[in-house]
Amino acid sequence: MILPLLRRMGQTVFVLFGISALVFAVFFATPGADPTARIAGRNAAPQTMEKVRKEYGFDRPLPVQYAIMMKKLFITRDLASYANRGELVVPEIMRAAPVTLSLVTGAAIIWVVLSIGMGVLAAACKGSWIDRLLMMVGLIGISIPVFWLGQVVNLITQNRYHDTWLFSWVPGLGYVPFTQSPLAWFRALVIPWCVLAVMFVGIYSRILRADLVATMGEDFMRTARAKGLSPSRVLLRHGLRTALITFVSLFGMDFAQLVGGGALLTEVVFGLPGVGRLTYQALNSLDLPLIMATVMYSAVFVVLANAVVDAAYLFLDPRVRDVH
Amino acid sequence: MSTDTHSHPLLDVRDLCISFTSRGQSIPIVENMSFSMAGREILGLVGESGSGKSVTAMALMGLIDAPGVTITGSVRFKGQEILGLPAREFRALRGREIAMIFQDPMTAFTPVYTIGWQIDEQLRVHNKFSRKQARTRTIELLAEMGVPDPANTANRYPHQLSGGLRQRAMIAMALSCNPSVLIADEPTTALDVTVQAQILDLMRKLRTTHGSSILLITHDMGVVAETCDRTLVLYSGRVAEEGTTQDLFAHPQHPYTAALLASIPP
Amino acid sequence: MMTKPSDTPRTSAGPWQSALRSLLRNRSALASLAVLGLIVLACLCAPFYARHIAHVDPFVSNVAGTIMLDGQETDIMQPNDNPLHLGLSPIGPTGHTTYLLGADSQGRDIMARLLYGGRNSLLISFSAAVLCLIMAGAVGIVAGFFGGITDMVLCRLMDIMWAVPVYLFAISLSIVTITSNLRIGPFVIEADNLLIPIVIIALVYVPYAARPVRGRVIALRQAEFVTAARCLGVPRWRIVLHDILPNVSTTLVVMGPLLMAMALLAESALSFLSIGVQAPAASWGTIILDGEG
Repeated sequence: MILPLLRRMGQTVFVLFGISALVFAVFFATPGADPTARIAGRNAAPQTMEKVRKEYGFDRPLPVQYAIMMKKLFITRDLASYANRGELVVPEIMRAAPVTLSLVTGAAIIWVVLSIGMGVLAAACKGSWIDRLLMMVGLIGISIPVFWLGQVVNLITQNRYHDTWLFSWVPGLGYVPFTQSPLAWFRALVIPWCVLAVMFVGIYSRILRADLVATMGEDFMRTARAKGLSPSRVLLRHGLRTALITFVSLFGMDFAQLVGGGALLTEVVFGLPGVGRLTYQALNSLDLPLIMATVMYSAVFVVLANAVVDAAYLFLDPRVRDVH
Repeated sequence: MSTDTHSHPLLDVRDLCISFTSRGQSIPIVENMSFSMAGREILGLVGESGSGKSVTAMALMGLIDAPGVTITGSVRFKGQEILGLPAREFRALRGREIAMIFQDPMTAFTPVYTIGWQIDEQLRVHNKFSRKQARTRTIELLAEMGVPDPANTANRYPHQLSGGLRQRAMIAMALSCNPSVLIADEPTTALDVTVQAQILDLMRKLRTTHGSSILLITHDMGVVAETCDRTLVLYSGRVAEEGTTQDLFAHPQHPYTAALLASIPP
Repeated sequence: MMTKPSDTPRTSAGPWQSALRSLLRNRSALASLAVLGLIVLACLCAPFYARHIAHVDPFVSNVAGTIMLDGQETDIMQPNDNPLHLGLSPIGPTGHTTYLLGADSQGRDIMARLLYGGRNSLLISFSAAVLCLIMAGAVGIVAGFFGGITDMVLCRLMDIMWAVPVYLFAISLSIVTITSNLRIGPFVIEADNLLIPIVIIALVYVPYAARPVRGRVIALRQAEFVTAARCLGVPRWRIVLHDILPNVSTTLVVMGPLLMAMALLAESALSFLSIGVQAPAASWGTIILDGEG
């Protein structure tokens, strides 16, 4: 049990290094363009350019530049934005992180509960109209781009029908910290949660149904029925528990991807000041240090989360435990 | 055993027909099968693959619920008709009165629970056992089946056990509620020859220790010769021949039985 | 014995024909195909629609313009319907060929832009999917067939690429390419070139598509017909070309539509963030962005 965990940590460190190198290469080693100009922002003065070149070591070889960058990002954390008058980038990200986390966690709870319900129901009624209806709904959910859905929902709840009894409770776009008022926090987030969850409900319910249907053909399901267990117990305790292994590993990856920037579009549409919206604002002002920092921190988060998922996998599936 | 066995046979199958419907055509799998089992009897059901052995077993367990399958005839258990019994009543029977063990013990246990958990589950579904009582009984059963260090084995996962141990655990689970009938579908096919002999030995002992009748499904005439009191030879869904194992081996009536016997390596 | 260069009929006639036959039997698949075909056709006809049916130019802003509706001259920007009639809002669906779906905030015909945008969106997603399949096929085949260190290096590289969230990866690449023109040797790629989103989207999905290809190739490498070819002394490149590639193509074809759908979503997301298709050109993503507010 200890050895596989250690090996996994080694891999994680390697991937972390690889990602930082990759991101660095994308931003500073793309052919044909001067990174100094990108960092300094549009129409920067020659003095600023010179300062940037010194600060980031652009006159020195690439490995040194890489080392300087990593130091500024993770050790001294004094990477500053030029487009935004020297605002320190890392604290900005730390301030935005709770918003993203609130958004994604809430959505995740919704999509896990709904997709398990839908997937199990569809699998239990395999072949019936309920099954077909649920899977159709899932497919529609998958095909709707989240930013379109978000805008349409905004149009309805903020604009067209805001004054009707149905949507008068909907607050304006934006975020309220949980510590300030839990109720306001909930009201501000409940619509974004649902919108973000729609696509994942579709994906997960379809995957879970397919897994469950495949599991139903397994020998151990026949054994469970031969034991005289009730159909619901067979489906839930034996079928669902086994199918959940795939489900959980997928969930971990998607959750991490969302926290690490995948929720960007939802944040932009609903004006939630999370990491994604920070990246978006940086995009609009071409604030390269900020973008690079968000990408780097997100990637780190994703990698660490994946490592956690793998560890969870070890606990969930006894077979994996003994393979190593 | 119960007194019922004097008035009725324990299990009485009459004119059992099973057919699958595919694209509007009805394909018979089992045709007019009739046999009966007495208490503490080991009945062999022999035939090549595809002759309808496993389908018969599944039908007796009431486990066929696929659309397009029609089952007719009569199956009486202790005098009670069980074919077409409501699902809930059949469930109470399944695992408690009629239990089954399967061919491949590797895939027949749910991989994510311990062996002990799975035996406990069956005990607790059919009896009012506490968790602790169930586990005590589980360990007893495992010990009885010749599992070494049963308390420890109960806490292990299916993939951690050898094939022979898994099959012993499977038998322990099937016998946990002292069923009157045990259906064993190729219980030794997936095992090594030495382990095979041990398992057959165990099954022979079961009828004295647990008083169960066993319906042993196999394609191996050697297994039949060693274990069964009476034997039913199945050929493409029909009963080709029936008789005590001794008679059958001494004077096979049906050419197919003769061919089967000839196929045993000397 | 190995001098039979025509390989198409030998390798693919059977499976393709049976696939076609089962497609023809599947009514919902046929209906979907028909709808998709109609959309593609409509988008291809965008210039024709704009010039000859709607009589508009969907790429210039037309805030002060007027159109003829039922012989009446109507402003494109209508007064707001709030009580004070403050501000202007673009005209809604007219029910006429001109401005069929109304105007956007710059007074441009939405229907015409929708069709033009569809051309870009479909072109980008289709090209990106094809390009991605080619790259993923190459990576998967090389990794799977040669194995060993090659495989390990490629696999780790894919792992690393896939660990960066897809949209963030695409954003990073886009921001770098649209801040300044990309210069590769003698070639300069303008920031508004459609090639940029195509290549970016294709690139970020390579790890996703390469993995199953690699798995398939590894299985094929041990297949008997490959062993047989090896024993006959067939050169490796020939085995890859004649034995591996035709068999992997089914995996690639199955992934094609899925990738195209993902590419379409990625394209509209990038364009929505205004780092995909650049104004004044349209795509379905930019149109959603235009509708904001």
